[in-house]
Amino acid sequence: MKQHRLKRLYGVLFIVFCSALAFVLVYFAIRDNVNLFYSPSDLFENPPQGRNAIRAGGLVKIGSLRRSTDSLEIEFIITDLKKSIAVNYTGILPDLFKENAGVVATGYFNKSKMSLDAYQILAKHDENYVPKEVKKALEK
Amino acid sequence: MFQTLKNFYHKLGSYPWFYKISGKVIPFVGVLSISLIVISSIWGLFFSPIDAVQGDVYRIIYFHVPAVSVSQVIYYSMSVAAAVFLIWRMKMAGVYIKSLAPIGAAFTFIGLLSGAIWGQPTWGTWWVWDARLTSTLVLFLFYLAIIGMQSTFASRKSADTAVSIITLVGVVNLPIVKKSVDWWNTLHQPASISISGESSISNEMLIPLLLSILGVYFFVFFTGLLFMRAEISTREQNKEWFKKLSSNN
Amino acid sequence: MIYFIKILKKEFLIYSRKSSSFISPVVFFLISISLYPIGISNDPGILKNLAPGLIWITVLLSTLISFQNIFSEDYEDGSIELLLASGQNLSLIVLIKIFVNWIFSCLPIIILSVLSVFLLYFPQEGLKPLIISLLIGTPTICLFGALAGALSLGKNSITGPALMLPLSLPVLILGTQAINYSLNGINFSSNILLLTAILVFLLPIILFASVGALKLHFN
Repeated sequence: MKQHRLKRLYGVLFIVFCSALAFVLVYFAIRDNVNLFYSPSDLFENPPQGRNAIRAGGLVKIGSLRRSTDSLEIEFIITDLKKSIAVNYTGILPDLFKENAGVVATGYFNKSKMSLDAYQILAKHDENYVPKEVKKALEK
Repeated sequence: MFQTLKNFYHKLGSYPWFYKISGKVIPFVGVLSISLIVISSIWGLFFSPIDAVQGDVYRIIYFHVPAVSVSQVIYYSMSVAAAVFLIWRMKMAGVYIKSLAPIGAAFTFIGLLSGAIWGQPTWGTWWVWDARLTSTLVLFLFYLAIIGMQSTFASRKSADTAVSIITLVGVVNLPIVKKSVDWWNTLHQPASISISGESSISNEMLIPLLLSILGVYFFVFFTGLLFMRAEISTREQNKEWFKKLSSNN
Repeated sequence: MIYFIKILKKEFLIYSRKSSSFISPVVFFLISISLYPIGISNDPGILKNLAPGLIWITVLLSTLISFQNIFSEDYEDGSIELLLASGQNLSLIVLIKIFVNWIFSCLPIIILSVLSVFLLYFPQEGLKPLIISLLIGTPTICLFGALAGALSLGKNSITGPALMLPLSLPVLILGTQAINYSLNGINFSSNILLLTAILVFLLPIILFASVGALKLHFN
């Protein structure tokens, strides 16, 4: 390659390198905002400081879902198979909310009771796509 | 081998050669891309099986995945063009970036929109600030910046230079988009299609998905050629070869 | 390589011989810092709260005086034209100039800002974030200064500072916020990371842009 082109190549590489470094630093700086949720183990090991709303995510424990008979109040336990915390919520749940399925709850964490007073429940689904008939056949 | 490649590269930089060849290729690519998109849409919407967890909602995958996939590939190709422009001063690279940026922006927008429509029934929200969604939004903003910067310079050359630098800066965002679902706890699920390992989507669903991806790639090839020809004709309208060409037709 | 080391040595020599280059920002800084207690109040409670912002603004203004002139002397004696004609790597030379200028005009002020503990009743535990944020924030301001200097070459106008001050706002905000965070017991590392990110991100872009601006004057 000719000399002046080589020089420009170094310039291009320099720009890309510097901006890559800058992006990494920015993502480190906002790491806590980038991680969408705490797992129950995180909440036990390193409970969040302050009175801010947090997100907690995990699987809904089988058999833990309790609905109130006269209101929309719901109570269930989320677990990451090591630790688990209780979640209270009032409202309508998303369609994909099921026991043993992933869920992300936003709300205020109660450190003394290890529970979360949620104001938003989001369902998390995985990357597996299987036809309904195949799944039925597999379960038989 | 190297010599042929080098010849091809030099030819690619020539407006008349590109104009001639692209005119011949365009009809085939157009027909191919539109038929692929129609076939895969009908297959995906009516004939592929219902998903066990999400039901019929999952069918939006046949629009979402091709759109976001092609939007990232367009950006990668634009950053290669940006490096070529900055190092070799190849004018065609500037034409390429200017023509492909609106297409990339459109597909990123389709990806964000279809993702929102998919997220509402499944997750329970249109939008959430998780790493995958945010970094895709950053990609969209880079496309908008590239489009916006085209008109802020007096000379074509300085506009192309500045746009190339912005494009190169933005390429760092792409690995973040790709890897965000593995690096952080995101609401967005990891990728279903895997090139090296086994895909986590069953074959009856995967084949129409691959067809739709292929269709969209050809569609971008088709519209990209059209836009580039339009850009070349505005830049070269006073040149001898172009006048001769248009007087012949 | 030897060529650039020679340039570095030359710049060092010029600045060390020209004592006004590093004395005037220092004097400006010391005078303003000692004026605040007189002009505002010598109540430690009031000064303590204002101190982070006051120190940062003063540093910003004192770099403003020195960075206007980063290229002006070279422009007047014609050495910029020679450098442009020499075909050497201009962005590296600009980088050296900015670096040496930073050492002579910013570093002394940063060291002297320790004095604010006595003059402004600045709490000692805030010194660490103060020094770190200044060390990382001031080079960015110097970069803006170099760009402004390159654009307004040979013209003594208001364009330089008018261009530079609004650009420096994010640095000012992040810097003072880091100090306030640490005084209130909040982790300030994310602010420092963001300041570093701004510096690293702008470094190549501003270097190339100032070279472009310098070339514009000799077309």
